[in-house]
Amino acid sequence: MNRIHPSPRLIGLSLLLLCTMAARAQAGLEYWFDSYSDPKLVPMPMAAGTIKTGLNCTDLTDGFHTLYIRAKSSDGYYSPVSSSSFIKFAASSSDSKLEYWFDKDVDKRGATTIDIEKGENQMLELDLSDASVFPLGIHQLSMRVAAYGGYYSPVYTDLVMKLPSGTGESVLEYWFDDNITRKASFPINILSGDVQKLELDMTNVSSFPLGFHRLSMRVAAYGSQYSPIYTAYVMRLPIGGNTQLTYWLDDDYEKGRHVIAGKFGAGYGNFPDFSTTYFLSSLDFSYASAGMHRLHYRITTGNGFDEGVVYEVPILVTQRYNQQTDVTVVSEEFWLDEQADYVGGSFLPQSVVIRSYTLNPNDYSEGQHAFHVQYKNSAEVWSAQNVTYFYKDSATGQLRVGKKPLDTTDITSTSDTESFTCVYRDGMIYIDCQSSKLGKTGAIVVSDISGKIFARQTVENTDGIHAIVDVNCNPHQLLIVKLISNGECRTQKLIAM
Amino acid sequence: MKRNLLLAVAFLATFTVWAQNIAVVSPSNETTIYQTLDDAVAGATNGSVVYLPGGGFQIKGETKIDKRITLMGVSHRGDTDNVDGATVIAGNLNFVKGSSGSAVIGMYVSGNINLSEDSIDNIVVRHCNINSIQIKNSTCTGTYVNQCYLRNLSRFAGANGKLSNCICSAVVDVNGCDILNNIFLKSVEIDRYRSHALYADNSIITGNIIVATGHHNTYYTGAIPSAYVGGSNNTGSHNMTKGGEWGDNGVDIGGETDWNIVFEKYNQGSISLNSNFHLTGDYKQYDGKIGIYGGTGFTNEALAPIPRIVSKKVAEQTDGTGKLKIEVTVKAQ
Repeated sequence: MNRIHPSPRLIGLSLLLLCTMAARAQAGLEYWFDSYSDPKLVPMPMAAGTIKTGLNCTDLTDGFHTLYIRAKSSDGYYSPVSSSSFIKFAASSSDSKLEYWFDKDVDKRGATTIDIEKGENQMLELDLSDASVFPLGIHQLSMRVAAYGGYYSPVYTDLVMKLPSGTGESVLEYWFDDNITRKASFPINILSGDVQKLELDMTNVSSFPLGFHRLSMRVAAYGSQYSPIYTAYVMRLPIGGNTQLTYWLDDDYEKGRHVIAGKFGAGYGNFPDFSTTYFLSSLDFSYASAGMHRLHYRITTGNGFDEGVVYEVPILVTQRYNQQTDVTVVSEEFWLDEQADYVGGSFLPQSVVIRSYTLNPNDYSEGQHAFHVQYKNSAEVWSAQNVTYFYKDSATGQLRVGKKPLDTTDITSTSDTESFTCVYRDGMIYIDCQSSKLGKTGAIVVSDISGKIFARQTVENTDGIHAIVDVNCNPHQLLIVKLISNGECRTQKLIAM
Repeated sequence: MKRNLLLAVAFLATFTVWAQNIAVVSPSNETTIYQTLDDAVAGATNGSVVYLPGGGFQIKGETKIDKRITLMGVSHRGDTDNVDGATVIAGNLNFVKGSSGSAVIGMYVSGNINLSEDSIDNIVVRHCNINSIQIKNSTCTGTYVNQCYLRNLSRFAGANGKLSNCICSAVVDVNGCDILNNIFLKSVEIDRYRSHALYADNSIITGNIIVATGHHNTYYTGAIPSAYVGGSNNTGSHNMTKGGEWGDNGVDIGGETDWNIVFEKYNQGSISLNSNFHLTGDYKQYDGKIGIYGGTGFTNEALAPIPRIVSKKVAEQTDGTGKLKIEVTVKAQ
C-alpha cells in the first residue's frame, strides 16, 4: 500500500521551535512606554497572579503616552502585547487649580486657581475669555482638578466651539457619511470671539437611516469663514417602549457586551415613534486594545422581545489619549471597477486632501461603474476604500454619479400578500411586500447559503415595504433574502444573474 | 462632445491611526514591534514567533509566508477571559516555499490557509477557526490540523498528514492521512461527479462521526465507494454513522435517528461556537471515545499555549508622585 505516515517527529517541529527559546527566565510583567526600547520587568513569583504596582514615569515628558505590557512566563513564552494610554503630568503644586486644554495639546494647558476647602463642593466656572490661541471651530475641551496634596480628578471632556471676531449670522453645519450635499445647519448664537459648549440636537434628523454613521460638523461664521471639519461616529437608533442597545467588539459577545437600556424613551411608550442619535464616543471600549476591531450592535425595540438584526461595522479603537497629532496623508491609490492595476501616487504630506479625478465617458461602456480610492498616511496605514458609483447614461452618453436607477416597470408584485416580490438586477435586489401583518419597520438581510451577509438594511413600512438593496456578490451567486418584520421572517432564494 | 465628470473626493485625515502592536520574537529572544501583520511577516526571521493580540488584523493577498514562523494568537473565541478578546485575521494565510515547519495557533481566519504548489512540509494548525485548508501539491507532507473549526470544504490534493479532533464541513482528496476523532458535517460537491463530507485514500479513519453522506451521480464511471467515506484503501474503526456502518466496530445510530438526539446541541449541523458536539442520551457512553472529545481531546476554550492578560486597570494619569498605578492579572495556559 502506498501509504506515507507523517512522522511525529516532523509534525512536532513547529512546536519544538517554541521550545528552543524556552531558556529559564524570570516570570513577570514586561512593560515599556511609547515605543519598544529597554523593557522593564515587574517580577512575578508565580506563573499566574495579579500585579498591583506603580510604574515610575519620571523620565517621561509631560503629555500623552502609551503603556505597553505583556506577560512573560518562566519558560520564555510571552503573552501578546496589550496597550493603554495615560497622561503624564509634572509634579503637583501645593495650590488647587482647574487645568484645561484643547484637543490634544496637554502640554499647552492653561490653569485657573481654585479657592476651595477640603471636602467642599463647588460649581466649576471656567473662564475661557483668554482662549484666543486656538482657532475657529469645534474642539475637544479637557479639564481636570489638580487639588492640593497631589490629588487629581479624572479628566472630563466636552465639545466646544469658538467663533472668530466678526459680525453677521453664524451657523453650525453638519452632515452624515461624507454626503455634504445633504448637509443641515442651524444658527448658533455665540458672541463674536467667544467659546461655547456644543449642543447638537439631532432628535429631528429623520433623513438619514438607522445605524452607524460618520458625522461631520463645521462652523460657518458670518457667511465667509469655515472652520476645519470635526468628525465623530454616531448611531441612529429607533425609539420604542423598552428600547435598548447591545454592543460588543469582535466575537466577544459573552464577556464584552454592554447593554444600554432605557436611554431612548423607556417608560414613554405612548410617545410617537421617533429616533435619537447616540455618540459612539460615549460607548465604553475601555477594555479593548487600540486598533482595528469589529463592532457588533443590536437594537431591541418595542416589547423587548424583538431581538433586532445584528449589525457589524469595522471601527478603529483609538483610546482616549494616544492619538497621534502629526498623522498626515502622503499617498493614494485609485482604480476603476475591479481592475487590478492600481494607479496612484504620492504627494506632499497634508492633513486634508481634496482631489479631483477626471473621467472620460468615451472610456466607459454603458452601465454601472465604481471608482475606488484609498489613501495612505504617514504612519504607513491605508484608509478604508472610498467607493463612488457612477454610470453611463445610455440616452445621453454622460457619466452620472450614483447607482444606475433600477428599472422596475416590468416587475409585477406578487399576488400572494404573505410572500414578497424579490428580483435581482444590476447588483441590486428589488423587494416589495404588501402584507397587512408587517410592523412599522422591518429589516432585510441578504446572505449566501453559508450565512455570509452581503447586505443588511432597515426599512420602514409605508403602505407596504418597498426597498432596493445594493448587493456586492459574485455572478451566479445563490442568495437568501430574508424580510423580517413584526417578529416574522419571510425568506426567498434567488440567483444573482 | 467630450464630457468630463469630476469626482471630488475629500478625505479627512482627522481619523486616528493606532494599530495594534505585534511582537515578533526571534529565536535569539530579541523582540521587534510591528504595526501590521504584513510587516510582521516580512520582518520575522526563520524560527520567529509572531504574537498577535486580540483584535482584528488584515493580511494582504500578496503577502506570502516564505520562512518558518509561528503565528500565535490568543484564541479564536471572543468569550475567553483574554483582556483583548479574540485574534481575528481578515484574509488568507499563504504559505510558500521555505515555510515548512510553520505553525498557526489560536486565531480566527476569515479566509483559507493555503499551501502553494511548492512542497511544504509539517505545517501545524491548532485551536483555529478557519474557512478551509487548501493544499495545492500532493508532495506536501505532514500537515497537522488539530482542534480546529474548518467552516468550508478543505482540499488536500492527495497530500498526507494528520487531521484530529476537528469540526469539519468537508475534507477531501487526502491520501495517507491519520483521520482521528473528527466530525464531518456537510456533504459538499467535489466535482461534477461526486459529493462527499470525507474523501480519502490509503488513510486510517478512526473515532470520527460522519454526519453527512456522499453520493455519485450517473455520470460517474468508476467503482462506487462508500457513502460515508469516499476513496479507496482506507482502514479504521469506531466511527459513528447513520443508517449503516463503516470500518470495524462502527456505531450506527440507525437510519431513523435524528442527530439532534445524538449531540448536546446539534444546531442543524452548524459549524458554530453555539453548537455542542458532546454526545448525549443513549450515545453518552461514546463521549470521550468517538468524536472530537475522544482521542487527544478537544478544549472548548481554544486558548493558545501562552500566558495571557485577563484584566488590566491602568490609571488615566500619573499620580502626584509621578507614578502610574496599574493592576494586571495574568493567567498561564
